[in-house]
Amino acid sequence: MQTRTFQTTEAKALNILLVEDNPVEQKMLETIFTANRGGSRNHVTSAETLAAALEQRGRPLAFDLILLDLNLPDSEGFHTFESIQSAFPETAIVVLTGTRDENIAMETLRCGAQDYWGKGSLEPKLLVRVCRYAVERKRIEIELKHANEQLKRHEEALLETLESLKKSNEDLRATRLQLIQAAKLEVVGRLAAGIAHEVKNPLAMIRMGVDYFFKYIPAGEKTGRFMLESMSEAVGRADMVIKEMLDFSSQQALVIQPEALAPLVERALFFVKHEFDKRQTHFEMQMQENLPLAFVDKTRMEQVLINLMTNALQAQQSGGTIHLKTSFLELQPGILPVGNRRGDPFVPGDKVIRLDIEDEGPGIPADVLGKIFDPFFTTKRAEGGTGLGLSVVKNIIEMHGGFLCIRNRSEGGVCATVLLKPAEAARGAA
Amino acid sequence: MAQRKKILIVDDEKQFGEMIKINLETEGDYEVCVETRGRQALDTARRFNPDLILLDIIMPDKSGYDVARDFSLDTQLRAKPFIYLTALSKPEVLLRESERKNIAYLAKPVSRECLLEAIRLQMSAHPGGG
Repeated sequence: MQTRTFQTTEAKALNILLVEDNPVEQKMLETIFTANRGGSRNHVTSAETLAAALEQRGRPLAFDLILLDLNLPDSEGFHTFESIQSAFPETAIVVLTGTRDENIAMETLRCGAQDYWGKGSLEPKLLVRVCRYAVERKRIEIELKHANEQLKRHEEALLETLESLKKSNEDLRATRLQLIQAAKLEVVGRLAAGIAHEVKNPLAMIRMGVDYFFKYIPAGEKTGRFMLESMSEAVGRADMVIKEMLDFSSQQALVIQPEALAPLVERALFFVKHEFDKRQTHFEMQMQENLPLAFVDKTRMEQVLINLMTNALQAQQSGGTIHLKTSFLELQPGILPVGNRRGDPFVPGDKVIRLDIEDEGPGIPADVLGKIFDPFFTTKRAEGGTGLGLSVVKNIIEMHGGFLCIRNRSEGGVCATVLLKPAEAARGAA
Repeated sequence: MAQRKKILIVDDEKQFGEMIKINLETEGDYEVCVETRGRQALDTARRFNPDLILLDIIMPDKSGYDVARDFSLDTQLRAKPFIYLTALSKPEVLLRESERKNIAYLAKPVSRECLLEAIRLQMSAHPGGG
């Protein structure tokens, strides 16, 4: 049986820090390591105290190995090891122990010392070998540590790439949806224009016929008059449906200018005033003073306001009050469901013009709330609703780079909130 | 008493033309001629010599735009006031020919009252048509 021995002669010279307060042992150890055994001479620096050892920190030539006696004049036991280890994190440590220190020595091994050496068994060849192994282990440990760190950096970079990939993918999906939506709109638009033409011609004929009879029907002919009025109203309603359908699919570009909101609200109100009176509903307006101008297409925004006010009115049935409030504010996270992803119209911190229209109606049932923006979805079919009103409103607001949210209020009723960019911000972003 | 004003209707929907004719003639002041073929519109107009033309835009054989262009190149008809009466919701005419003052536009379905008013306005604005 053959035992392989460590070939000190082939190894490179070690730079050793010897921390030992006992002069006899110090001398002996120095001798062991500096003895020329046919190879290169190791270099030993001695320190008698912890403080003296720590002073060796930052020397230009780093130590390969520290031989460490734990019990020094200025430090005892495990503390000595801890101090040295944190001062020389990249140096191999072999702890020198007396027989009673075995437990502490085991502890230092667990905490990163490469080996320990009982002082009783000073056997030069073996000690040198232990130290060589210790240095080698430390070197591998450090290489491993560096490799690990690099691996971790790579992993982080990979995760980052993955994250940005996910984001691109999300953006791509959103863009795709927008494209699909635009394509759908285009088809609907062409369809609507075609249908409009085909339907308007017969409507025109019915109108001409009805109007003819209106002209010549005797004043006392009540039933006949009722018939004609109903037909006339039906023609008007059919015409309105077609108009809304065309509005909905209209791809016409916006004519955007800085506008004050108050006059727009007044004008919209003018169109729905009759309905307010008919339903004996009050209208209350709270406009914030010095509201900045909004960047909007006047006509389209009027349409938005008319539609939202009409919705509020219809929710109200009759009586009560509809509130319209405007304000200028900085968005706080969590108050409104504004997004924080790239591509969202607003993120917390943005300054926005906010317009709320609140009714005192019964609110929107949960199963309906998710569908209110779907084209052709309506709960008012019997009253002539087309299900396009809110879709049109949402489209218009989104074309403005704005945001629309409709939600049930905790106090009851519904609140429609429109966020618009102030003229300054819109110009800046353009 | 002035002579009855003459109105030419060019619309491929024969019944619609006839209904307008009835409505206008029963109003008393008008003599109405209906032409359903776009290609015949110029000839008919030359013969009939209307004071005003009601012109459909989408017609199978010739568009109202082309008919109007023929009219604008004809010395007899050039100055006649006319009204596009169309089911198109956004006729290009509003952009294309808005500089020509003798052109008006009405969207179908139009009410009898509105039609009569538009005819009166166009005629009084362009009396040279007759």
